[in-house]
Amino acid sequence: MAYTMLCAADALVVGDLMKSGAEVMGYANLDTKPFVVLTVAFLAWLNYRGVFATLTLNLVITFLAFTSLIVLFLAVDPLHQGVVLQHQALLTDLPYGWIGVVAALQFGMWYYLGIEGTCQAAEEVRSAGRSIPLGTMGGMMTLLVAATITWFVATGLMPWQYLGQAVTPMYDAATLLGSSQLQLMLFVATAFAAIASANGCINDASRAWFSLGRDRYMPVFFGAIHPKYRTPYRSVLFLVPIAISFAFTGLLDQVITFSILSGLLGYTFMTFNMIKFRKMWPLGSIHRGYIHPFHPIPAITLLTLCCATYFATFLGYGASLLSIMAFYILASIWFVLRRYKFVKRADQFTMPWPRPKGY
Amino acid sequence: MNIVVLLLLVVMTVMLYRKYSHAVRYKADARSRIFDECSPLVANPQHRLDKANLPILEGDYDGYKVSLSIVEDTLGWRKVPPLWLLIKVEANLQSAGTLDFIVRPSNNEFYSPSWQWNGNLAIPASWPQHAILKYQHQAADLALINAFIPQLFVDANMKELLIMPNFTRLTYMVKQAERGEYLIMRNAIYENTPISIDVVEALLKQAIAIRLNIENSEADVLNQAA
Repeated sequence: MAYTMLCAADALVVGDLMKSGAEVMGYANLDTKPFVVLTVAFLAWLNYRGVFATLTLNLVITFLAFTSLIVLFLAVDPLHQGVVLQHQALLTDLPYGWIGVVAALQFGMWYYLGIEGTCQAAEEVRSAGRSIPLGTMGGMMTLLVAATITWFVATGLMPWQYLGQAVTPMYDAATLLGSSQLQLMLFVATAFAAIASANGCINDASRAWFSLGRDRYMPVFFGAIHPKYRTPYRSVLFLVPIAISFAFTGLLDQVITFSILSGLLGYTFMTFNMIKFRKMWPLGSIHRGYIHPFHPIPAITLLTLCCATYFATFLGYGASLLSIMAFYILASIWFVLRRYKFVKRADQFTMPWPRPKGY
Repeated sequence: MNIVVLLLLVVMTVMLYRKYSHAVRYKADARSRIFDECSPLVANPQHRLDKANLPILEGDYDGYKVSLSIVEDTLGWRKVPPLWLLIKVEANLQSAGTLDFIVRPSNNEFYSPSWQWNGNLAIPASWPQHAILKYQHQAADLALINAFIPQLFVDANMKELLIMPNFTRLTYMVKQAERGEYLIMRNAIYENTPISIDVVEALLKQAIAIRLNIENSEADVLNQAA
């Protein structure tokens, strides 16, 4: 659900960007909905046709989007304050104090949604011990650089009152610089970044749904593969109307909140699982590709961040927090009472591991 | 300015289409030659394409109808995509029971029917242990294949043995996509060479030996009943 909501948020950004672009060209009040549908439908079609085409597309357009961000950073003359960037005037004291920073934490967490994917690739790399730290640190550095450039440039050009509700801040920053080439580049880059993210989300969400179907956590209907394209086409198609309907609300912050809360629940369970896993299979009992030297500090840190983010969400989006919690509680009750009897655990745990400690 | 941009877009679209067409032709050409070396191996060879436009070679071998087909596995990502070779031996005599033995399963083996099967069996001690052994309704007699399995799965490329009443099938990883192409562009490009006749012949012999053993046992049962 986290990725489906993320896809909806990306489609929403594309729609809003088209509206901004149309305004520049003299067409005011463009309806964003056709672009939302077109974005989701086109990406769903790509995923329906084949995973590798979609992943190649992602790599290329993400690279172009990141390059545009670097170009924008260089264009604002970052070494000379006051020439283009106006941090002294715009970056004033914290308007809501530190509690305001805490209240924005969910959006910070959302920015890093999916970085755990580097660890999930552990069993598929040649040397997990070498690749996991390298991949994680490389991913984090890329995100940190991009995030830092984004806030640094945006806060130097626009007041926080505007940024608080901006859907496409980098495009807005390029517009303010007055260069049509830069504006066009950031228009394309923003569209590319949102499309790449939405594309990855459709890919991830449909495969997650497919796996749930294969493992019987969801109806087996979703576990089917297309006879020609070999893709989980039913899962791809099933998620399209969900993504579109959330994107049609037009409420970017609400959609993001739903997305991050879904992801946050997963992260919260991860912390308990990390500690429980080490207790059930202590060091030496099974082969581990990578052993974290500071366990359980990462788990405790993550749990602390999750708790802080729940609190942050409660501050600004209490109703959303309660509604999504109610949804997941009802879904859990349905799962325990109705669905779990269909799950075949023996089909999933096939590794010849020793019996867990205490069982 | 607008006309220049429009022209550039048209040129780019044409170039992309030509590149795409070239890639499709290259892939189709590579696929069509994948069983070139294996054609002499079987009598009455017949070539056709499956639903995914991948080649199938059918023919007779050692008194059995056999078919060779391939499956491009691009379902699981974050791993180099394998190319599975499916070697199917049609039954001369229907046997009782079903069985599917998959090593290193990840439950995304879409080419296998067993993910919808309900029966699970304990894996015999002499067989590879990181595996799953399933059946539907009635299991085939494990004793009939017990002698074959350890030797068959010594080769790490061997993935699956499927026994059905009307055929026996081996699934073998015959190629992997080019690693560099996958790591950089996430493309599944397979080496453009035919599958070795030696590999196929060795697998065919093993598949037929298993089928023959099952059918001999079935014939004994029928004879005793008669």
